[in-house]
Amino acid sequence: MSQDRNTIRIHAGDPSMLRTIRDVFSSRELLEVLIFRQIRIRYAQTAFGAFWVVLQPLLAATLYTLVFGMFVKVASNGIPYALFSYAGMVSWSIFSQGFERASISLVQDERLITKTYFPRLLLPLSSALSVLPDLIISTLLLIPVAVIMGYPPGLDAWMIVPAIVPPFLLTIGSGALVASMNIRWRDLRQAAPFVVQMLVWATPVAYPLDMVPAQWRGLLLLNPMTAPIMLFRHALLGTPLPPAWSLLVSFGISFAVLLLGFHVFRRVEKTFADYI
Amino acid sequence: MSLPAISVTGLTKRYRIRRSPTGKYGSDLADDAAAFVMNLLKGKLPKAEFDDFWALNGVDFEVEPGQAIGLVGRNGAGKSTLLKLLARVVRPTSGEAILRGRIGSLLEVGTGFHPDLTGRENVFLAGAFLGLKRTEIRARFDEIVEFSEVSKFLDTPVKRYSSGMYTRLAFSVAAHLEADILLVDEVLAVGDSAFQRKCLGKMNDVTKQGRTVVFVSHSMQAVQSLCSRCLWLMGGKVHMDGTARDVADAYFGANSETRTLIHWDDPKTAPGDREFRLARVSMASAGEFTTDEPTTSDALDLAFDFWSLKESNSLTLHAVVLSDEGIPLFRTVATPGQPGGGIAISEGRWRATCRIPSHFLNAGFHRIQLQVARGRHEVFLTLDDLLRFEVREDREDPSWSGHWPGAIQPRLDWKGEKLEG
Repeated sequence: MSQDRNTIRIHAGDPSMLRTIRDVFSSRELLEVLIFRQIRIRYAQTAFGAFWVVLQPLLAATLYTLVFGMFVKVASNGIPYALFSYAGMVSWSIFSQGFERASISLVQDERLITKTYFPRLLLPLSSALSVLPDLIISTLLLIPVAVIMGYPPGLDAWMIVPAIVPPFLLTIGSGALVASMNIRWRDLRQAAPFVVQMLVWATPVAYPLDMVPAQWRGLLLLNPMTAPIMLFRHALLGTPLPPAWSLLVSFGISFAVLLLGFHVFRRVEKTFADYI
Repeated sequence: MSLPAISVTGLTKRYRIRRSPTGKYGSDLADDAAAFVMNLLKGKLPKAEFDDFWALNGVDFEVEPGQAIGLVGRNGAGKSTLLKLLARVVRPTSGEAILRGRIGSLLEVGTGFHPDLTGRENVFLAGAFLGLKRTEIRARFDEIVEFSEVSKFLDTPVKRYSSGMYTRLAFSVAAHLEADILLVDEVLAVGDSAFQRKCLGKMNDVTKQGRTVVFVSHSMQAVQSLCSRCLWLMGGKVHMDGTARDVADAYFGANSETRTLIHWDDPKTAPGDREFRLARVSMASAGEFTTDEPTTSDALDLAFDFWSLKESNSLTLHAVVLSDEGIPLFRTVATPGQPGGGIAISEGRWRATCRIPSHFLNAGFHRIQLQVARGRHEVFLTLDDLLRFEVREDREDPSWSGHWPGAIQPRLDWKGEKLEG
């Protein structure tokens, strides 16, 4: 009966994990609207508009190319360093950009939280997912450049899809976790971007894995972003594949972080409006 | 098939106000950490220092489908908390509420609006937050735009709107909500009066369509015109439950002591929020010999002392002077450029004084309400019934000729001139 579906019971308890996920699922229209809002606001009234999507990884890659490609001369699996680092930056951005946005999503939209009801999880979720268009545009831009430079994508291009799944899971999970802690401890807001900046060096974004001393390689492969970035680069440029086990580890860790993020979020969600 | 639309049983809400070890209000983590270390060095284990505040303390009531019910009470009585609980914005501490039907909540005008986006985009955005499906918004889009009277500016970012236009568009979206239960807070207090009447009319239609409405307001008038039933909350409990008429009579009967000064000494418990706390409100006649028993010939000073709790705090004070029956006589806004008039002020205690000229108020009892806005117009705090004082007839005034009719009796400039003959 539709009457039952619309009956709402308000009480003190926490919703179950299942309930949380079901609520999010039934609000997917609002999720779409929130993603659109994120994207629209970000580039509203900027002179370059959507061009920034490309500009950000491009500038980072240029910087890396200057420092590591030309001055330090880091190896890059035999392909031009600029291509190598741009591809790395593009897939790293899923996490770095997504996490940055998701972790401040609750604090930023406090008005929404204190004035209206919707599944709160939609805020970090939509922030993390709002990097998807950036990802698509900057990837599409990489392809013609790679073709011109003589590195057309091969049959393994489909691997982009599995390559972006763990970063998104990881981003949503850690974003939800940090976003909910941000409400009580605003210091995190200052610390989080710094940590992300440090993590980029613990991930083979600007350097290839085989440059790392053999005894450290295993440790680096435990980083859940390592395998996806290598896979992404392989799919587009044909650089070496990550070991299969490291990809499994990445999926496993990312999924665990997602569950942890959802779990903590669900537990503290009820107090958001009280503390914000 | 007459299950109540809303059943509330034993609902409570506790807020824990942190008593920080340093005693300074709004102290941050660093201060707390320092105090924690100091206490440890002194060999004291820190105790949990919380003050409990029961915003709601066991509320029970039921609302029949199609009934419009008003919630009234002084600030801190729990009416807004109750509404927020029903709207699922905050979670109760204990107790239960069951709502049967689709809920639409209007806790502020323009929830979900973003200044950088156009009017058109914001209609879809706000609609989605209010729980409308995209197809529903599309179906009502023209109606919404027409109601708002801003169709010419639909593709302009709303930050370029005047506050009136903004309010109109925002309310229009809300007014076209498809909900069985409508939860409404004071949102009607904004906007120009013509549009306010239009909104009240729309709200009236809503209740006539058989929807259930819960309406929180500081205005007894609005409650009486919209609601058949009224709950009067006091100290987090239902103090009185009856017809709007009966509750209004009792409400004004109970708040009838004269008060020309009210003050709070502790910025933690004074009325306000994280950015603003009220410290003191006073009324005295202006001039050399001040008195709190003014006559119509005296100019009056209404002084509002407040704590600004953050740096570059842009607040605007609006004072509303009401008749003894709670009917607003006029509202006056602090002069732009003055502290309290919207300019950014620093942390600290401030005073804004409003001078009401002589020969302006009529004789009789007056009540003072304060509204505080972020920026210029966005009222986020309404403090009711701060003062109640009497303005006496000035029988010494040679021109006095008994009580005059009207809400105010201003002395205005008149000019006489001969036109013909």
